[in-house]
Parts: sequence; structure tokens; C-alpha cells
Amino acid sequence: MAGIIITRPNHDQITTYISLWSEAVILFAKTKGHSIFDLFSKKADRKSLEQYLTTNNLSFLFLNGHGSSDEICGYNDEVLLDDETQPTLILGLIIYARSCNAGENLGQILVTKGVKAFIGYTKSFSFATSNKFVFRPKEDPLARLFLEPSNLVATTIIKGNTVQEAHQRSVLEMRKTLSEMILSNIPNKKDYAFALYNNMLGQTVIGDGQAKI
Amino acid sequence: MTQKITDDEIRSLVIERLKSISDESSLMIGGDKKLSKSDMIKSVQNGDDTGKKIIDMQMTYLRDLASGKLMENIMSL
Repeated sequence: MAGIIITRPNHDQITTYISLWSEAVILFAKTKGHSIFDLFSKKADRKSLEQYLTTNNLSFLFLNGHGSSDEICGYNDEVLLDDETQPTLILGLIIYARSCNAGENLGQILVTKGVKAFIGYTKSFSFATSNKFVFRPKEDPLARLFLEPSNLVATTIIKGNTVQEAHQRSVLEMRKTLSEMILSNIPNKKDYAFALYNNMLGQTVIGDGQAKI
Repeated sequence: MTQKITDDEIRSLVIERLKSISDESSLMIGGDKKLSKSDMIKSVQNGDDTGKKIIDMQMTYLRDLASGKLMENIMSL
């Protein structure tokens, strides 16, 4: 079975939300019998990540956190991956980065360094939340519209499908959700369709789309 | 004849759209803090980086909605 690392920093509201929503991916991976290394909260730092990448036989890295076109960050926005990342650490990995803009530039750099395939975003990854659910993020119906389709990227890869299939399945879910949002009479749903559309346009695959774990 | 829309008109259009958003919700844009409706409007008015991101997202959506590209993107499999 494949080894999977997931980074889940939680130093602000954005990272707390995506980290909590990533729990579903961890549970799913466990049901499939995969070894999961969960770098949660302060453990989502560069030293820990590099230790796990060095000492374990891994095939999939799922990163949650802030990012830019040149870096992906962990706890307290410490840089986890950038153009100085050693190729030996990431050779042959599939990476999904749920963070902003890393698909613009860094994804290609990492693939050049030996990553098999990278899924990320060429734009800002964004999502809406309902203030009523600030203490219960996993029950937030507005956040669900954004975070479930993105979780699908990770769970589809974990199922053993190709990276391209994972991307397509997620995009298909975003399309369905967008249709519901645009046609909805519930104000919040309609109002944030622009943000989900942005995520959909920005999600991209770099490298070998036929790669699987 | 095609009329070019000015930056001020775009800003006003986006602000009007943001005004319709419920006060009970927020937008999380990676790298920025959680944004309330008034935060979003303020950023667009000030023309800061967050405001520019929001304008870009809203205008991409509106342009693609108007041109039919959005529906094409949703319907294509």
C-alpha cells in the first residue's frame, strides 16, 4: 500500500478550515489501508516534512496551506516546498497542493526536479464560509461547496485512479455545484459562485496525468 | 460600436455585487485573512492586492457569464 503524507497547518482560520476538512481524506485513506503520515498543526514544518520524505516509502503528498507561485507553506507560513527543495526528497511523488498559485510556477519546477505529477492552482484558491459555523467548520454548508470538490482530487488519487482522472472528477463536481449555485435562490450560494468558478478555472495538472499511486 | 468600460466603472460594478452578499458569510482567499463583506468592499475601494484579486475573480465570472463561456465550461464534459 502507498505511503501518503498530508500537511495540515492550523495557525489561522483559513488553514484551520482546510485542515479540518482534510480529516475526511485521512479517514478515507485509512479505510483503503494506506499508511498516512499526518503533519498536523506545528508538525507541518519543513524539518518534519523532509524527515518523513527521507525515511518513508511515499507516493502521494497532499499539502494544505498558504502558497504563492513560488512556494507552498506550512505552520506559521514556514516554506515547505520551493525551488530549493532537494530533488531526491520528491522524486517520483504525486503532489496535490491545496494552496494558492503554486500551479503557476512551482508545480513545473517540482516536476522538472522529478515529481511525477502535480495538481495545484494557477489562481488564488478561495472558499466561502458561513459565520454561523465558525466553531463547527466541518458542518459549514457554504464551505462544503468548495472543499468537497477539492477533497475529491485527493480521494480519487488515493482510490488508485490517475491524476488526470482525479482532476476531471473534481472539475466535474465543481461544474455540478456551480450549476446549483447559479440557479439557487439562496443568496449566499449564488453570491459566491464567482469564487468557485475561479477555483475551477485555476485547477491544473502538470506532469504525467496518467500517474497513479 | 464597443464601449470600453473604465476601471472606476468596474470597481463600482464589483462593489454593487459585493453589497448583495449576506453579512452572515465571509470569503477566505488564501494568503489573506478571512474577509467579511465590508472587508471585501473596503479592499476593492482601496485598490489593494486583495481588492485586485476580488475584481479579477468577479470580472472573469461576469465576462464568461455574459459571453456564454461560463455555461460552456459548466456543460462541457
